[in-house]
Amino acid sequence: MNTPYILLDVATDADDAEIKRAYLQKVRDYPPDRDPERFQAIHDAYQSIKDQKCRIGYALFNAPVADFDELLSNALDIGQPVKLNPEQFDKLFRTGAADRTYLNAFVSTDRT
Amino acid sequence: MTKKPMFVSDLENKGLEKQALSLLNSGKYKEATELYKKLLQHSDNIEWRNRLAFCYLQRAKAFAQKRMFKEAMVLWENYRQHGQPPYADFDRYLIWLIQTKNPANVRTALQQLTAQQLDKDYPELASVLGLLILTEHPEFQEVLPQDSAFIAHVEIAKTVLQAYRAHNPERTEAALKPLPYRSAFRDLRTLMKAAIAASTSIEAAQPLLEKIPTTSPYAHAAQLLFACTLKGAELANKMLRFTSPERRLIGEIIGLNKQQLEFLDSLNKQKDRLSDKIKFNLAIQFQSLCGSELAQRFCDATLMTYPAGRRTYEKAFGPMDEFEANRLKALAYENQNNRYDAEFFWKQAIKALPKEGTDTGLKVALILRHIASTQPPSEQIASLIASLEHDPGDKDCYLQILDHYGQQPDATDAYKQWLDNSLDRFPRDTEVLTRAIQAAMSNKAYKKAIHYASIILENDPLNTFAKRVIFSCRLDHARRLIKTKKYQLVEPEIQQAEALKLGKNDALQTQLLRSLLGFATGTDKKQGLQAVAEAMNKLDPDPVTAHFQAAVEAQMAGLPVATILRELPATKDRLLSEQALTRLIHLLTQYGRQQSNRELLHKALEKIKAPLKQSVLKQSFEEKLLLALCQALDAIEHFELLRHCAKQAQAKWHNPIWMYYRVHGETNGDPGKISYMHRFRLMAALDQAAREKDHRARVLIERYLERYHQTLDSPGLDFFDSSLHAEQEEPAKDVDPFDQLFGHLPDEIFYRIDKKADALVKKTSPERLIEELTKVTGNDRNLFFAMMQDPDLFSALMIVKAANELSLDIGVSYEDVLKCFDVEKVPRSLPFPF
Repeated sequence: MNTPYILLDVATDADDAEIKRAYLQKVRDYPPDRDPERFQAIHDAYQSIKDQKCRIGYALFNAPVADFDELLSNALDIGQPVKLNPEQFDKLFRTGAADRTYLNAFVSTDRT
Repeated sequence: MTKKPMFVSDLENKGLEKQALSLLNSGKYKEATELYKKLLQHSDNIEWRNRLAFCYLQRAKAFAQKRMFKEAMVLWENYRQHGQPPYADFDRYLIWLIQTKNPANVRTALQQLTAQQLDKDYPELASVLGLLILTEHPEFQEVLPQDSAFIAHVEIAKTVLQAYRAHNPERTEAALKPLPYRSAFRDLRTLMKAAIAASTSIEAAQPLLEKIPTTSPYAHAAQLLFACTLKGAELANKMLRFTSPERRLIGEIIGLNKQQLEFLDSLNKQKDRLSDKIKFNLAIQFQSLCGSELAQRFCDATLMTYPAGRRTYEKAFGPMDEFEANRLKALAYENQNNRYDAEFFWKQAIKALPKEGTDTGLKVALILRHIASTQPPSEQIASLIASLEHDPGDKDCYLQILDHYGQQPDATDAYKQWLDNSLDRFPRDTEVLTRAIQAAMSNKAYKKAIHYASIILENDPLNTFAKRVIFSCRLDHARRLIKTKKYQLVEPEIQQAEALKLGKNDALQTQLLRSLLGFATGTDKKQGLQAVAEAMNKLDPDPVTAHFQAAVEAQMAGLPVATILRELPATKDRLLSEQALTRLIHLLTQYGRQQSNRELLHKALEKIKAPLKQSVLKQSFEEKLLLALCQALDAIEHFELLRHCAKQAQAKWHNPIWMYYRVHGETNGDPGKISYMHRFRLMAALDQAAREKDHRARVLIERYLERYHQTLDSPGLDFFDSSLHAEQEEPAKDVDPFDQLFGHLPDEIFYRIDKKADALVKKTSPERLIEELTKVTGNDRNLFFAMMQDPDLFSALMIVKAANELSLDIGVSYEDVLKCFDVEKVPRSLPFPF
């Protein structure tokens, strides 16, 4: 979900100065001549939250977006980094080998 | 019953053979098999045998495709019995055998494989056998040719796995090295490298796993491992492709808890019908897992498309904040383009705002302005003014109010009041001052205009607009001083204008004014006139534009126009060049900025009307230039010339804007005078503008039609009156004859007929059409006169004619039209006094 806050990489309670700083940094990172579309999106994002009045307006007139992927991401948050050990791999390897879907390739009448 | 002994002659054999071949060629292998078997009973023909074998092979493959592996194997064995070695698709036969899950039979069959077949001919089978030996069937290894490279590679693969299981990644990598790229274990090598990479960071395995093709026997294991590298939504979506035990295995590896696995199971059960309702319920059921705040936010949003979930929502999250509930409803209605209900819920939301809350006032003001942005212009103003009670410092709102009143001809007092309010609040703001200048100039309040422009210049000394305003005011004042014969005050004004040093053309302008002053005050009128002519010649080398500007300037200064024009080169038979026309447009725009100049501009245009019309007719001006001319003429409301230009342009270009200017010109800018055909032509032009994305034409036509509808709403207006009779006053008719005649037709049918009528009018001259129509309706002179008096009668008859041509029975005849328009009552005399 690309909210102006995400686009400018600022917190939802950021003040005018923080937002302006983030905007100028983004403009430096994506100048209009290099990526005009991205620049336009950044500019529009800044215009929509540049001051308190704009931020209130943004909060009032933007419908909340039902982002199911965001919900899934939160629900399946693992937290700790995953490392694979040989025992786990062995289980995966054997489970994977037990699936014979790959043999379907031999069922077709034509050879690829 | 005993079977008759069969006698098959050579002739019959030939017939059977032909039939068998035909069946084989058409893919009817079963029937062909029977015939070849019959043929082979009489003669052991090698060709028939080969064809029989071919039929068996094809049938074997067809059965395998239906997953009837046992039948497929029997047929393949029949094929081998009748065919010649090397036997085709032996590798497939072995795979089918593996599918029947009878390892003993597989072992026996595998003994027939040669090293050549294993290493070269059947790479896919080798790959499958490799995986089976490493996992479920190590016993297959001993029946395979021991001298094959495959067996050597099996040993390497085993060493690799042993090293890996012994937690020794270095030795695993070393063991992988002797495994050649082109081996049955190529994908195992990639998988093992991924496993080694995943032991330090699971994400590092991703690029390696992507290299394993989906048809590889190692693909599923690779996919399982790949799922372990994913997160969030990607992980969820990937997990839904696996079985429950597989999901649990992945969950165990990546550390999913019981609730997360339950969530995945619930999601999996409903993955093929994930409606808003199901997602909403999942979010509520697993809100602690998803995060309560996020789950609530998700449900807030989903309520817009699934309002039935409100009760469940309130059970889960408590009663919804009234403001928020109304806000969401308003937004939902806006999404459906339902402005009325949206406005209602916005107003409810305002009522629900806390009276003393922070930002309450600002929120109310913003909502009112938001409502205004969706309202038609006539309703906007009340919302905008109300919004200022809650947020009085919003400059844009003041400007919007000024723009609104600025467009209403009868709202001068309101405009003045709001301009004063705006100036009080924003005394040094350029945009407010600009509007103040415009108002002052239109009231000829030059001192005020100069005062405001000076404030702009204090803020921005290079502001050209402000400089030009002062220049223009000085000159206007100087002209008025000449007109009121206060000659001694003129020169200082001219000097102050010159002091602004704007440009060469402006210097020539001041020179012209000085020459006019000389003419007005001098005793030698001849000499004065010569000076004016010289100045004009420098300012406008083209005689037509010179005549126009001189006429304007003379009128403004109260000097005799004809006397001055006589001194200038004649305009007779002159045609404007492109450059001269551009200059004329510039002058029209410049002088036309002041509405009070309109009358004198019309008089000045009268002096050059003939050459201007001829120029438009004969010169090949670009469309853009003619468009600019039409815009300038429209701005000063010179509809006669606008009609002429639009008509000429429309003959050359078929853009919708020309239809607009034509109709606008023909109705003298009054949509109440529009004829029925004009209206439908405008609607067709509107469609064309929308198709061609001609935004300007679309907006102009829409506004015109909106004004037309407003005239319909205003009682007492004669909205049926034709533009051709704009000056005639006719009593308003009670019922629109078109509605009376054609009101029963569905819009799309009427639109189709109207298009046809339009095409008929374009194809045939009006005289011819009138002649045809009078023939059809009876050759009555009354009809001819009636059509001349009321073009709507002609349009209605054309609609009937078009419907007839389209073979549409609309239930309206020519007689009905004549009756409706009271043709019998039309006097039999010409409407002209001759």
